[in-house]
Amino acid sequence: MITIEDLKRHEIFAEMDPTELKLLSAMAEERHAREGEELIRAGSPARTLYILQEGGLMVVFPDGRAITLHKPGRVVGWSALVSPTHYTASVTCLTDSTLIAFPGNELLRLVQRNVAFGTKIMRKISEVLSRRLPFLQEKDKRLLKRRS
Amino acid sequence: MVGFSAISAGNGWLISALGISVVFFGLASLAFIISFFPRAISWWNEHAQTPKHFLPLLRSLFAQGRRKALVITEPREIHVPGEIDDEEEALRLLTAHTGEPFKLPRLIEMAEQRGLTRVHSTINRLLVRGTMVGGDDGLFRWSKGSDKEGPVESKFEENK
Amino acid sequence: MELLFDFLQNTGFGMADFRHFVMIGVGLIFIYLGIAKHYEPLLLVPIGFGILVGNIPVFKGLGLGIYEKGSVLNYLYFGVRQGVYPPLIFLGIGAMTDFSTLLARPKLILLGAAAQLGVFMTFLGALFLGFLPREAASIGIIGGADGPTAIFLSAKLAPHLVGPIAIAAYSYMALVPVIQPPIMRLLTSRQERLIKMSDPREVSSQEKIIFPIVGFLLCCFLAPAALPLLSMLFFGNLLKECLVTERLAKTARTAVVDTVTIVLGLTVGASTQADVFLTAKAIGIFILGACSFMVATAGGVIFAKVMNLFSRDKINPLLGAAGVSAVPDSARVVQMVGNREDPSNYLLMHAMAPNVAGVIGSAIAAGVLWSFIG
Repeated sequence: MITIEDLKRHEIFAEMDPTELKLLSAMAEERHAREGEELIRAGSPARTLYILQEGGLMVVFPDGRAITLHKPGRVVGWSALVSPTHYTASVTCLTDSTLIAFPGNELLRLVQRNVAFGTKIMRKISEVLSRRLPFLQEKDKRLLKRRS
Repeated sequence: MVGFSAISAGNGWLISALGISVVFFGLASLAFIISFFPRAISWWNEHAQTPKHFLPLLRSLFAQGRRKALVITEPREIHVPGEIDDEEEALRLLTAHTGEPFKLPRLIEMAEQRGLTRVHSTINRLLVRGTMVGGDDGLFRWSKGSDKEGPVESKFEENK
Repeated sequence: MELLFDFLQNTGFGMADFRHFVMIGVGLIFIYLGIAKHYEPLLLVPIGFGILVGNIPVFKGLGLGIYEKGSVLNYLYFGVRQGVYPPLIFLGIGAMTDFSTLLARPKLILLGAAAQLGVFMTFLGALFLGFLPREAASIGIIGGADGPTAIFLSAKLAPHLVGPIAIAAYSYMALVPVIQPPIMRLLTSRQERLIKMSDPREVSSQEKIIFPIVGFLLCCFLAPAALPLLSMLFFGNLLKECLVTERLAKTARTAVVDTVTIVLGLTVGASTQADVFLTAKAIGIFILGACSFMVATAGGVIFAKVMNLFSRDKINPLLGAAGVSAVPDSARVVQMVGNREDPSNYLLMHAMAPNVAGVIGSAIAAGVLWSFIG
């Protein structure tokens, strides 16, 4: 059972008000994963967004590059919210980990119902991903240059 | 009846033209009226004669509180400088073949093929310790120097 | 022995012909798509199962089939026939929708209007192919990408086509991520796709309360035939936004919507029988349905480009595709296509404005068509 206090610890929910946190805690579930478990497979339907509470994760992109996440509050599975179909990277647990899982379709329904919440979430996605993935942005920039 | 004559017989052109016009006019009017909402509401709030007790009630209904989230500090692992364990040595040997920088998933795959156990948690330990570091390019390297600071999850986050 | 033979003759196996099995196969495909592929499961699973229910061969006269007076299914089908269920679903939709993005940037409402071009072009296309005006209007409303609206209008104008029209509408809504992106890329340049929208202004709670009242009065005075749908949509939204009726809003967007969706899906599916579905007309409906979505997408995108000619504050023309009111799927498609060009461009919340405007627009279009043709 995920409480509002559990959620408030994480940066992504820092700006949420108590009502929004209450709605989020109602849909959140605790998920335990073992070392070496593939939490997310690239190409599979994106249904769940995860927040790391404890442990370590490795995010693997299709070209074999990777980043690792160790700090509580790190988010994986953004595709459940921003892309319509499939995960773009795989996520494997480096250690036994505890995560908070959010069903993507319920989160989307919350976004549809509450634009202020949706805007906060989208801003967080923008901040987090632009910090986390400069090499992906470089790759995209090279791709854009090649296309133009 | 088919073809353009069927459309004419069913008043299709007129219905379509009128229909899309009505939809456009309706939504355009709605957009126009909505654009005046902020002004109308601020005028009402400033000038309208409302019973004194309604305003505090409305304000209390619309008030929103904000709370700052708690921030927890991440754990730091301390290790004795200069000490290399067997697992780390095995991984270093593998990367001596592949060269640096290396792809982490490939290293894990090679290590598992060679029978190394608990590769993932070993790598996690090395990353948290700072012995192995991930770069901006998504590739990994062994860090130079023995004294490391905390989990080196992503260098670029320190630059924000 | 004779008794056994009579019994066997009276079972479904004895009474079935190949068309029943074809329809059962269609129902199974829908269930598969809903469960395994997660294509609109809340609709495809009830509709798919309803198709199975409606295509079990039964004796006429025993009060079993959906079209037989006095049967359970017939009673439940009343809500479809008389247009009761779609307004109840709109009540729930209103109670679960936040119109803030639309209030913050009212001009995006016009993209929802532009996407309704799909409705009227498809109406013309259906007339061209020889459908009667009532049938053509019911087929045209598929372009509104709104399942309840499509069911509502076809129940009023062409009840014999409710089944294929509903199935076409919901199928294409699920296929929006496949249908829209090629059209969006074809009609926009890379530079246009890279346009970043400025953050919308804050919308006060007072505006969110006034909007459903003003919107309802304006739209229903203009198109009174849209009253059943729009009244419920705006009423549901008022229940949500006024905060003092949160319990009612919660019931509307959970229990009411879920109950009605179950019954609507099941009965629409059960009404879809071989003599209507396995016909050239049904094929025509499916082809026209696909065209309607494409034209609606193109209409919204092109209109956004036209708006940019006259506006200093540029709109990303991809937002025009979100005027197709498959909420929130077409908004997500806009997000996806925009994100491919620029990973830091987040269009989802901006796309919600034309997306919800499209719901209002398709209801007005349905009202207009009903008043002209009904």
